[in-house]
Amino acid sequence: MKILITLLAVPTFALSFTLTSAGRGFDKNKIKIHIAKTDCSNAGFSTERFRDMIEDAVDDFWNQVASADLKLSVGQVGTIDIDGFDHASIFTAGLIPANSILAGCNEDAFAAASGSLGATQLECDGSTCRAVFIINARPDSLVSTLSRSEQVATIAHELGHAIGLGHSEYSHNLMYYKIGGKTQNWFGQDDIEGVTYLYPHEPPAGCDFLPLFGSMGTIKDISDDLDPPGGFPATIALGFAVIFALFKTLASLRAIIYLKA
Amino acid sequence: MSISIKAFILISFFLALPARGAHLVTTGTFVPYFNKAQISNTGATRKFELNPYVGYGQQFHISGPHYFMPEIALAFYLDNAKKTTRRTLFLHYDFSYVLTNVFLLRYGLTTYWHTIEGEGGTVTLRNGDSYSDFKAPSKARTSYYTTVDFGGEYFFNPVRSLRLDVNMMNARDFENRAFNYILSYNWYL
Repeated sequence: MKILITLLAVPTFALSFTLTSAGRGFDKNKIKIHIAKTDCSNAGFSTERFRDMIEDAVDDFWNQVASADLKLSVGQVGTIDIDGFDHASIFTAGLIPANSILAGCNEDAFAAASGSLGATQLECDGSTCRAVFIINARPDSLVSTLSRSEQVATIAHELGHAIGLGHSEYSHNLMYYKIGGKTQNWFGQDDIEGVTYLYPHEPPAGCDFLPLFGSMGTIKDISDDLDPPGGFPATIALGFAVIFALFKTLASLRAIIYLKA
Repeated sequence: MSISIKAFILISFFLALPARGAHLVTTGTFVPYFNKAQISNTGATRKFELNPYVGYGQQFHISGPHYFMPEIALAFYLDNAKKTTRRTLFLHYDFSYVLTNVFLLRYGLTTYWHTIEGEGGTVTLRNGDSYSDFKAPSKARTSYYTTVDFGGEYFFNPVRSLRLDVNMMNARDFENRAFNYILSYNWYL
């Protein structure tokens, strides 16, 4: 299912976060975004600047949710060319590396005067997911009329679809279907809950029963992460335990001294 | 294992501890993502929210003005949507320092078990110029994470107090740091 956003239409009722038709996110929480080399100039920016705005969308939005364990990373502008492709043909041609997101601009995925700013498709097969989001670069694209912050919010919105989120009915959320007419500084609660639902901090392996300290990471996580998430809380906890033991020892010594005196 | 069973086991564990310290019952409100989560189209951020918070803890004397004050608590959310509910179970491992006769400084760690549960089904929402069906979450998922805590507690009388706990998420990451707070009224038994 293609997810479209537009400057047209009006707000409706409120529910909560939803998911795309895939009904899930990626199996992995570390997802790379590949940048297609296709020209973005009709959208009002260069392909290099498109990459920079994706990085801003990642740094200012998706990698900032402390209750979730999602880490998006952005590659350099690559060699993949999506000129002449729509979403379905990109999947058919196998242009997207496994478990990653392809981002690009083109005019072939959009009908004339559609009002769509971008469109995204996520497909999963077993443990492998692929997503592609395309920014409308038709000559009549409305993307070029947006401010830079609105362009970044549009990209962040499409990234939300790429990781598995559907729309929200609350207009202050990033995943509302419409970007225009509001200031999107950060996420609303629906966005936060959605990404936390799809990419939660997992309990330590074998500790689901009583995870005394969350976000410790699994053995695999630690092996490919030089800065394991559990390191800091575990160290702090150890520090508290040492302080606690020290106080107890001092108290016991003092009691013994008083008794002897 | 459901969050209620976990809570029952943990409360039993707390009750089984040697009753050398004071018991504590607390109630208040939990405010997540203070001054960060957006609440309006103008970009205004959340400053306060009423999310009922209830907890039980104990107070163990360590030495001099130092106390260890573990606590288990549960927060509910009043803004749960039709197809999604969420709740948070807290395990506080906090210490306190008696600053004056009526004021404690608090510091420590808290582990969050934040559960989001969906009923499944589909939701029809605007999508571009038309409407599309989106899937609603269909499972219960829990995110476990730890915060660094600091705060203070003011005593109206020897067994009643008002407490503010600030929980810092992403403590190691200055740019991505976020804060939750708990404002609560406490009864020492």
